[in-house]
Amino acid sequence: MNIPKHDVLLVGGGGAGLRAAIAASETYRGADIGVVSKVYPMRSHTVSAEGGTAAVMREDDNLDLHAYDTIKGSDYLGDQDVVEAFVKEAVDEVIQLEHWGCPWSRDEDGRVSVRAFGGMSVKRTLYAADKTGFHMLHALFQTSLKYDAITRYDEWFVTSLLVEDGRVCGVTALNIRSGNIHAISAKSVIICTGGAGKIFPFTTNAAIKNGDGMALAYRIGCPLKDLEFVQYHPTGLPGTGILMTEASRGEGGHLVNSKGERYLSEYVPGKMELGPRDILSRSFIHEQRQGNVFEGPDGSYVHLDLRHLGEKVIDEKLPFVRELTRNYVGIDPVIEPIPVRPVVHYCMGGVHTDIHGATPISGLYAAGEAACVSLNGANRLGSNSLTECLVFGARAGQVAAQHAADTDFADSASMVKMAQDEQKRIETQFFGNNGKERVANIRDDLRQTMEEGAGIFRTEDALKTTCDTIRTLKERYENIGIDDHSRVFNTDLVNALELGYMLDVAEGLAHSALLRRESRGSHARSDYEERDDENFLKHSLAYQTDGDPRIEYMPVTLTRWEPEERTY
Amino acid sequence: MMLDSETTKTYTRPISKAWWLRDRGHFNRRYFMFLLRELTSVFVALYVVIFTYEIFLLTKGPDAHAAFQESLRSGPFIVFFVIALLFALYHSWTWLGLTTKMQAAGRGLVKIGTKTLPPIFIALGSYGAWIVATCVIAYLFLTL
Amino acid sequence: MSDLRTIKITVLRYRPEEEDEPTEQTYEVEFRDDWVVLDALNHIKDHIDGTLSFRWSCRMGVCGSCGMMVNGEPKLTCAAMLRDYYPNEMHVEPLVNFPIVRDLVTDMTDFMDKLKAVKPWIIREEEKPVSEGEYLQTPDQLKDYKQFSQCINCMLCYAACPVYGLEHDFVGPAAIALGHRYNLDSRDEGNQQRQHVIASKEGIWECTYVGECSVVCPKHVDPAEAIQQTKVATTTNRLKSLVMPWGNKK
Repeated sequence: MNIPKHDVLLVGGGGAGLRAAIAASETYRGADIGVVSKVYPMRSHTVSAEGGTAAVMREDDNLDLHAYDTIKGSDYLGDQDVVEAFVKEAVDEVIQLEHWGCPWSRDEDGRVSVRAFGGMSVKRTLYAADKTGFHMLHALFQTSLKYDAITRYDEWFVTSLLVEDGRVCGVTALNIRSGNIHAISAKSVIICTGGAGKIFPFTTNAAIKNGDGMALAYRIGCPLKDLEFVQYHPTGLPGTGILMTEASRGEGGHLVNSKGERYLSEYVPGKMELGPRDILSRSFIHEQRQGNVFEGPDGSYVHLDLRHLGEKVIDEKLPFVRELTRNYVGIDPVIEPIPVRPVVHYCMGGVHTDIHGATPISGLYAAGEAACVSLNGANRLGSNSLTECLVFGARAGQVAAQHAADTDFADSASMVKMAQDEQKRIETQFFGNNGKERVANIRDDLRQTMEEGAGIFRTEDALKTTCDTIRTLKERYENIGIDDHSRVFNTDLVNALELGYMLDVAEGLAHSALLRRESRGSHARSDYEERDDENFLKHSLAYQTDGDPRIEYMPVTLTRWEPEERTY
Repeated sequence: MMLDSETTKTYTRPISKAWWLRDRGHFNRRYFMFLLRELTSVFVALYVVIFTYEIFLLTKGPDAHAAFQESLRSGPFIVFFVIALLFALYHSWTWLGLTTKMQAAGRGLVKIGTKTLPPIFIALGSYGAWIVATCVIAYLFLTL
Repeated sequence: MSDLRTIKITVLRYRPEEEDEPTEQTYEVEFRDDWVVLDALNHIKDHIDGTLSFRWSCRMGVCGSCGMMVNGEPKLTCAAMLRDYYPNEMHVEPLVNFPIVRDLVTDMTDFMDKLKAVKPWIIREEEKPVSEGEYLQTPDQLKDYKQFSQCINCMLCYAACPVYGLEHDFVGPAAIALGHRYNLDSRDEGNQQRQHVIASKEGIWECTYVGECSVVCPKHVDPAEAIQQTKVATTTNRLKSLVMPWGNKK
């Protein structure tokens, strides 16, 4: 029996995955690339990114400044060699994307425009109005269509990574449409499945972001790095969590509390609304504790005031913000302030990779939000992540293709067997037992405990409770029953498999957070309020075991920037 | 390129002959108006047939032509002419309205320097030209 | 507390393994003022009937997954407020003019093929090396194509287009608009390569200007406009080459 074979196989077809696919196919002629994505690639969550993409483009800027901003923003947990490579390659990558048709907003002289963003010392964020991710993704996807070497598996869902003799040799994937499980053989596999925001109840993330790829790697023994760092974006719409881009502050918007004060003067006087996201989100909680916030049916909120920008600027620079607020909360930002509150937005942590995107497991690579190449450390700066998808997507694509050129395919007969075993496993687990547990109930309980224990402020006790709860939820998951036992487009089954991934990532996250007894970047411990460089200037690595995850540590790479106190 | 495997059975819904009237129980005015516009061509064609026949009758002498003209003054013909006129107006109006589409949004086919001529000018120009042409023809017919 | 308000939603179901034709199923769900239609569908899936299948992802009107017929009109269900239909019973169906794969899920491979056929990427005779920097493009040049670059591939325009319903060879509104978007881009030189698809019988000339594609487009792309512009441009170019065969510019 024949199974599909690819030199390089992408798991995930968003910004990082498509960039990696193109890079791999350009690395050597004849390279055969596969892209497996559980949604049509242009549906990937990159599409929702709004504000922009950072790169040094202007005379008043330089690479060292971008590097320093990123490192300081990361609370010194970013690997400095990675940051230096990133800022250098960022420039070519955004220009490459321009050549591929991305409709960047422009200055009168025809150059791409740049705007201000949180934690960035100068204007260096390129943008396409406030739909930057949408335009990037569609430009990448449409460009990818011209590469005949790229074969797509749209609406296929990877259920496991195949390992032989210690190296990854392919995947098993569910063709959602037919319901069949297939093995796909690959010399290199790159995970680009995005983050795991959906393990939290209140998030800007799309339904598809359940940490799939992180869990896939975790299950075959690959460590997940710095998982405890989860970014809250300071400005989401209450209730839905729909993102109000940081660009609205970059363009001059104000955050105002219920007393009518621009309260950030208390917390980040030097930067005000352009402070980094972790500090701004914590400031909201402080204001909430002092009773300086508005109360609404979907919880407390403050105001994001754009009125002084005027209709013309809003329509030109922030049209999507206006469209979203009008549609979803019936508010026109031209005449009213927008209610906002902090919302889970981004996972700094992910699959542990080196500076090239290679994981410790041979044949396995990762890029984008799913990966932790250690660019963002403990807190990512806004507009660095789209660039990260490009820079490290390209890097991973190149090294994965080089690896493939020097490797042979594994034996396909054994892979066919593995696919059959996988089909049996899934049928037994989800169709075979008449479990009583509903996917939605376990998922809701997971989200609740994550918010309680691993939210903006964390404590030992709450985290312990969360760890215990997750263990109980994993036991309940064993007894899961799904309504849908048919094969064709069974989204009930997909959701159940996703829940399994979510539980694994949540477990790694909660345990990593429990053991990091300090406050750094987005990880704020009420019981350990200070940053502790002596004990914790290091990356956490979570390994899956039969019991609780094992947490190890590895040093942070420092090159030219000594850790300093982080004030703005 | 997509892997062409494992296509499953699909169901294609038949399109009702009356799709332009009802769409799954809901009346869609725009579909109806569209079909009405398509229907105008029938009336315009019939009018052209009558008109051509009249011209043909002119070659048969003034009596034959006058007799036919007389018969056109009957009720059914008048109703037909009124409908044909309304349809012709409707068709011309919507068709000329379309000309704005070549200018709408940022891009326009007609530019002055780097600026796009606003679509309203195209529409006014089209409608204006239409009215002027109609007047000229009417003048020629009524005076000659 | 007031009594729980509910709304009835009748959904077209199709389970290819069990039935040869779609059937209807009515659910009664909680009505919440701030819910979109998609929220109600998710409520059904999570708490009433896990077998109901549909696509969705971003819930903010930009990923393009959740297009369906709501009371006979193509809508993004994440952008259609439930309160606009309450208290009447609602009908939700998969987008028309597409084959149904399962329940509210349609087969969109036809569009994916057509999208590729219009070559929606920058085509140049000579690529400029990245090291030489970006192509300059003024805000006016950007404005030329920007509207047509807003397409989220949600397929509402295809569902609204009776021509596509009757004539499946029609390249269709979104694909033509996207091809047009690249033709209008100052960085692109691929107009000629797209003409045989766009300016063909199955392309712009199939369109009889119903105009419904532009009415339903959630992103105001106005595909009908793209088609009309291409008709005018193609005709003028043909006339020009007839009158002045020597002036055959690219």
